[in-house]
Amino acid sequence: MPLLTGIPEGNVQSQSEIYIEGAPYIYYQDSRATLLHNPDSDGFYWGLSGTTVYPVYALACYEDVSLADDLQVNTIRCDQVGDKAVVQKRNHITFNFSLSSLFPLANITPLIRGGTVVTATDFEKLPLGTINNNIFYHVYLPKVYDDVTFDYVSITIHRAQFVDPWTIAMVAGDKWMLGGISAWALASEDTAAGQEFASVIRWDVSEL
Amino acid sequence: MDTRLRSRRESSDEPSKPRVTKRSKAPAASVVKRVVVQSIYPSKIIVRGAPSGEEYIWERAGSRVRVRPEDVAKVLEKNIVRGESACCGGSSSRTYLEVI
Repeated sequence: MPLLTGIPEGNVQSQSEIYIEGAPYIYYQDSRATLLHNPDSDGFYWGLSGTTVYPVYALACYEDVSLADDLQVNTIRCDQVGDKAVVQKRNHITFNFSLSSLFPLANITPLIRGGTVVTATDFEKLPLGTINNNIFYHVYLPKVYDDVTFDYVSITIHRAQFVDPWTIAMVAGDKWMLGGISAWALASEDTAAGQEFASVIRWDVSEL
Repeated sequence: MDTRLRSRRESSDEPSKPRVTKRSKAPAASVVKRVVVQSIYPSKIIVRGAPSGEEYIWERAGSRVRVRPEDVAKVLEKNIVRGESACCGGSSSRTYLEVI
């Protein structure tokens, strides 16, 4: 039942009753590749375009997907009254998920900080050695929230590293699960000011 | 007798013999025209067991290797063409190598 009294006056921006369910698709690519829109006509950097040297990796089956902000917050305290303001700084954005599909190994070696995969006849070989901290990735997360009109929202992380120790759970009667995958969206100076960490793009012809 | 003198006198008296140019016995058009195959897979790829016996190695995605014509079919067998999906959606077709 709509509010009949107590309605704010003036310019009121209401929300759409659109609810998004489920995880987005997950794609990632070496950040040395140029983004699909680099930038677009509105100055936004987003989307992926796979090349021979820098293909886009698609992940098949995953769970427990989440995206979270990581901030450093310090209050401005005035002892006579209390906290009067807050100074915030974004450290990074954290994207977490657990992966059930582990093949081919070439698709997951960046996630577990593995080395260059070798594919020979009937074999695929993945080395696990010291970590190369100089490789970063774009991560692209599109989600179609209307299957009829194909309206979608996408998040493009411009410069991510896969951090945090992973665990492969090998449970009887259940699938192997590569858990603890965490991508940190770090500050990128290759994009426009205000988009250092990520861009969120929504396409909706009927609503926008 | 001074042999050096003799040899000089002899060479100056006799007409110079034409030098014979030795030609290669192999036919001129014997160069095998190889086919350039490029890797588009993010992995080092090694193909062994080709008909010619040659081993081919692509170091990384984007690498190009010149392959003997008779080995091309064997090399491209590495590409997986499947219509069925193995798990969790999507087909399992995968292209590793392509002819340029």
